[in-house]
Amino acid sequence: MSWAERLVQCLKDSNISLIAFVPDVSIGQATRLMEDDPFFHLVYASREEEAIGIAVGAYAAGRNSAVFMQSSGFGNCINAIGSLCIPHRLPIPFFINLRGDLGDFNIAQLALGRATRPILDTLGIPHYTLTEEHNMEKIVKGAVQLCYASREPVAICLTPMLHGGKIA
Amino acid sequence: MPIRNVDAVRIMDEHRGDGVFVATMNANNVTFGLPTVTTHEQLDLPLSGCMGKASSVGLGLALAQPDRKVIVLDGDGSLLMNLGTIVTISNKAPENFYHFVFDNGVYAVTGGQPIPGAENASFEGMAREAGYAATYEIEDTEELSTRIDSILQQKGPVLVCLKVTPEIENTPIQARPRASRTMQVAMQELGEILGS
Repeated sequence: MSWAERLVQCLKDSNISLIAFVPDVSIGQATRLMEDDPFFHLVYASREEEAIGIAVGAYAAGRNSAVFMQSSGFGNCINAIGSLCIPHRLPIPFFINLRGDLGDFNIAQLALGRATRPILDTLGIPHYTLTEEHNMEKIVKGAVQLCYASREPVAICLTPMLHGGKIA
Repeated sequence: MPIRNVDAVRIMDEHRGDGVFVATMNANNVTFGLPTVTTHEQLDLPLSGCMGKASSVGLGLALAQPDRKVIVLDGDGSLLMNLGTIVTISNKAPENFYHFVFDNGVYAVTGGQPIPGAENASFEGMAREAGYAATYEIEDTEELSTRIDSILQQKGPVLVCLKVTPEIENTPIQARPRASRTMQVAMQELGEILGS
């Protein structure tokens, strides 16, 4: 299985079925697989902070949900996380593709790529970084379980070491 | 008669059936909003301070509960803060989604500063062009009473822009009455009813 297939299987095993995201090539390998799988309900958002709200609403209605974004999109949704997920203890897993790392070519992606994990630390959101496939199940399923047990968001960061670059 | 907040929420509450309300800002005000009139508190999800996310939360609810009406009571400033939401909503086209915008032209909670475009932008027009199934603008209380039933019987997504009288709060925020229900309590009660 590819890293994306393994990630999608982790979501299914964790019963996370509603996925909100802004369509983007950098998360496309994973979201394309989900589009072809009737288990998932994908929601395209216009902006990442909407995706946070959509995931919160689905969770309120009893459906486990997650948000996919890249690090620049994380910058777009910090206050939605800070005003919804954190104060109201809403367990939404965020899958964040970290840009601005090895091999990146777009200067506009560097600042938020580098700042994402420090910002997560400042917000008190636990985060785990995937650099290789072999421990994916342990990290993703463990992070998701922690998310629901603690009733707090967690972030799982994807990197070029995992997926090889922007085509992720 | 011009529409007052409290009359708008009372009329909608009377016609909600078992619909879920997601209410924010003036529609959710603890002295003249939904909490003062609601008959199904456990089906109310109050949001405050999240800068325009009520419609996004309502969309997530509507998609996860397609057999139940979800009625978002939004603010005009709130919708402006998250305007892409109307395209996101029309793209998913949830038939159980009803979007009421309380349009008073001001940021009432912060002292009544005018919102951008208060004089010339049309939320009803924006939603229509974004592709909502139906859109309305209502500025009279009797008209709202007369039309609410048929509006809520239509297939969504529907947007109704309610021209409401501004009720500007000048009391310092820390001296205003607090909401009696927290969002955590509301989420838990709603979850019990929706079977989550």
